Amino acid sequence: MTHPELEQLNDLVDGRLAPAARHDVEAHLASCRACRDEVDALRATVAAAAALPSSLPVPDGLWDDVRATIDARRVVALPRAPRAARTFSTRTLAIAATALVMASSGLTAFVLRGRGSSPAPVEGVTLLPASWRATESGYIESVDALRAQLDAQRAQLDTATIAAVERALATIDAAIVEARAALERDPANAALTDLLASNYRQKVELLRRATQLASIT
Amino acid sequence: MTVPALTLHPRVTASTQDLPDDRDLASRALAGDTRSFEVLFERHAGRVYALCVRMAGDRQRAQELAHDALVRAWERLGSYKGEAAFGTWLHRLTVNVVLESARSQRRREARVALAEDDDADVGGAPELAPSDVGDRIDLERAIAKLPRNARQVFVLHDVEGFRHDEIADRMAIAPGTVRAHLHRARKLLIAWLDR
Repeated sequence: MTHPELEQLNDLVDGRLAPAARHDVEAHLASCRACRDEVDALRATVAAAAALPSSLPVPDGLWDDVRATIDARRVVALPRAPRAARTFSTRTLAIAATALVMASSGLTAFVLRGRGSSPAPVEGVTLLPASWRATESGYIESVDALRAQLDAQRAQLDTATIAAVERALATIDAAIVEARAALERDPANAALTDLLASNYRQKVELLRRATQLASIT
Repeated sequence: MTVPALTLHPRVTASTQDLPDDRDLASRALAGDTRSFEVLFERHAGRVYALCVRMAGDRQRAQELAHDALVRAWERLGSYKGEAAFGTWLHRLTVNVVLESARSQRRREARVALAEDDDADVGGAPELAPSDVGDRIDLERAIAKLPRNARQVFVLHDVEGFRHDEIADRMAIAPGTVRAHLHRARKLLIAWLDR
């Protein structure tokens, strides 16, 4: 037979050749030094890769960075509720959702009302501050992850609880949109940045509570 | 019942054999105990970082990816059910973080109208370490120089032991493409390492 394709030699090394093809290639190798060398080199590379250490020394400061991010994103460390307290926990979640909505929308209304006339937006400039965009992407990532987790766990929550959570989320989302629009008009306003961050934290906390409740039911 | 917080010295460096197992630590961490999560970090961060270094081919980027993976692990502790080993769960989560990052990078490149050119990040043969430094360092450096897709397929298959179909699924590419990237990676490594 002519020299096998290199892809075939790779498949031989990986044990992925069909029996007939394997037989042909091995017969060729018995009489072809060049192809045997190719296979030896492939096997040596695969073996060296498999022998690489599974761990590498962690850079200094990695834990401190991870801890700082965790602390920045965490609102409240929530204790896990016992299974027997499911009814109470569901009710607690509904109350918490209402409280969060009141806090979120109420604070937004208060701050925006207190701002008086907002600066006119600069035409063509709608970008939020760069520092805030990085922070916001972190919140959005957390929200997306928790939302996906909650969606996967919906069957563990009763209909009334889901409805309460969805209503609360809709209200917080409206507060986020309102605060975000205000910040776009007035990007240097630190109070608006704090307000928007606060709204995101309320959303993350509500989703965390809901996913934790779903996890223990 | 509230899971009690773990009482430890703030920096855990001593033997951890008397400490709770990973599942217990994950439960405590889920309840908000960051010290338990720090013990999990001490046990598993080296493997997370190694995977990120090899997949990213760049230590600065690897540190960012390891950070993102570990933060995501904290945020998703609720999804860890203890069915698999914690290290396995964390490893899979890290692979997802790295591959999602690669996909985002490709989208960003597409947005600036740079067509994906997998050859673009292929340099010449890497400058390998002097021979007395050792083959392992040579191989690590050579892996870092591979084209992105070939590097990721090679690391997942030959270093981490994923199957072709698992890699195809996670990278959203055809199994035949996995095979082609793997072949290309090995061919380049053999040439560079003069095996």
